[in-house]
Amino acid sequence: MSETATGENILPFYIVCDESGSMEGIGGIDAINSGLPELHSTIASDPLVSDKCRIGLISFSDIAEELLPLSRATDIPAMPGVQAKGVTNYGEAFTLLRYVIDRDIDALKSQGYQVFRPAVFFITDGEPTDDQSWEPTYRSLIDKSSNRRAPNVIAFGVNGANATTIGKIGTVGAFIASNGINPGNALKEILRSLTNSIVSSSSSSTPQLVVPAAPDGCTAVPLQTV
Amino acid sequence: MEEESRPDDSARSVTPLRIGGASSFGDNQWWSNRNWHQLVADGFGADVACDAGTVGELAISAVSIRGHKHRVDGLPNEDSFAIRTVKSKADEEFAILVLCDGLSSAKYSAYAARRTSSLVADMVRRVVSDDTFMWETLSSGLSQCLREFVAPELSSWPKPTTALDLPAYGAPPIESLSVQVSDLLVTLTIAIVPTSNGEKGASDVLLGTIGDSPAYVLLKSGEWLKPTYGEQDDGVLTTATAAFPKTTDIAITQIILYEGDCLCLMSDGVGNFIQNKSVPLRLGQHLAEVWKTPRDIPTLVRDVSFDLRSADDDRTVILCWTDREPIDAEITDEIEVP
Repeated sequence: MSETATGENILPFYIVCDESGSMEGIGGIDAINSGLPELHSTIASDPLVSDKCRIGLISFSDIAEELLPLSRATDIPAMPGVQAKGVTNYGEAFTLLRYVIDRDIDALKSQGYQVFRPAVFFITDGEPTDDQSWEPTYRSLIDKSSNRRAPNVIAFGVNGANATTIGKIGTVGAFIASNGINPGNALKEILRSLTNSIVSSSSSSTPQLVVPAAPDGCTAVPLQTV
Repeated sequence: MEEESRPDDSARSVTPLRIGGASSFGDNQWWSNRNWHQLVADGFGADVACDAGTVGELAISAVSIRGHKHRVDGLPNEDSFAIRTVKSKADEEFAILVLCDGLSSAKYSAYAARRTSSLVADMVRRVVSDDTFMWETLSSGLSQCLREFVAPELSSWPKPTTALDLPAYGAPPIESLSVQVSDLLVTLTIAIVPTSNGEKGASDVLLGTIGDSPAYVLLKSGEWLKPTYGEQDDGVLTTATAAFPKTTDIAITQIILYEGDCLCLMSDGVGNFIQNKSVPLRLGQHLAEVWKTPRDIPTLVRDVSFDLRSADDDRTVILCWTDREPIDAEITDEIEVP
């Protein structure tokens, strides 16, 4: 009996967050580190959401790190924080993301869960420092014909992020902070918007990704083909 | 003392059956100050609704439980069921089982489920008791009856005449003309079951559906059998995404129930956890074992109150056992020995 699947539904969410050195000066690190505990608290206190969604946190700069393995919100004692360092290497983030998604879905399925397509919230404050080399890695991550577990990606850009690049990364939604908006405040709004998206997506009896509206101070940008 | 004399006291526990890890609701009493189990402001919450009884050789019971999703928000159960019995002029007796699951996107789906299940059960009852009734033509006439009688009746209700006069079935206190069809969408499952098994211990059952609420036959052997309807496309029911009254075309199939089988109509709050691609899930395995024979009502409520993470939709089952009192070996001996 213990080997049999339960049919429990899981909607995995990954927050992929830029922690390059430039995030420090714009107040981005503080905004993220104060927003993540709020996100956690909101999700953990909602029984419908916390039972259905799992959250993982990946940071990237020179390298990418898995700061929080995919977890149920109520099992997370405290959200880890990000720390400013290095440059903005997108390729490292996408390589790690592909590995982590495969590993997590294998583990969840072996435990008998019915896993919905993962959703990724990608947050950055600048252009990639690995030039165009991130694009093939990204393409293999999101190509549903070669990667059955390709995630839906919602991209957010602030400060020095380029709208065209953000439009390439988002597969179902892409948003960029408007000129003149304080990047730290924009990031706070982005985290609120991201939290609302997780709550709305998980609240339905049949989970489905609800793409958020443009956060305050941000505008939607057209999605681009990579 | 009487309690202690019960043969299987553990089966009467009020602790919900736990499937997998405990859900957030699992360790939480409904009256706790977390407020995860709220009353419905204007009534008709249908938090737990039951019916049960016997007719002919059948034992029938139904349970509907408001899902966590609606309990948290203080909203009503959007599932509903109706059970009737009827005799034709030819003295054939039938049980009529109807289950509706309101679409969450429909504004008045809780009312629509209550009203539709009742209207459909009454309509079938009238058709079967009519002088001209013929079993052979019943299936072809159902869609027409749904279209000509049930759908118009659902979409209109009398305007309240006084401040305290509420329309029947908790209809929204508004002009019916302002209600759209999309406000009233429900799935619909109908079963018409002869109350006596045929000469060979088998009976023809008419099963009809609009939408994706699952129906199963739990075979005497303990296996789940999912009937198929009409035209199939790669095993997918073509009306799976349909809803009444937007469509009145009901997919019909006739199945044979053998003595010892149990017909199970379900809303997807339960049906989604019975099997996945024909492989039984953990809840399905458990229920296949315990629903082989009729269950007492408190135990059946416990069965449907299972604790499973992410199973937060309304849950409704109608179970129809064809052999309510199986003759065991000992009784057979008594009959055979002069």
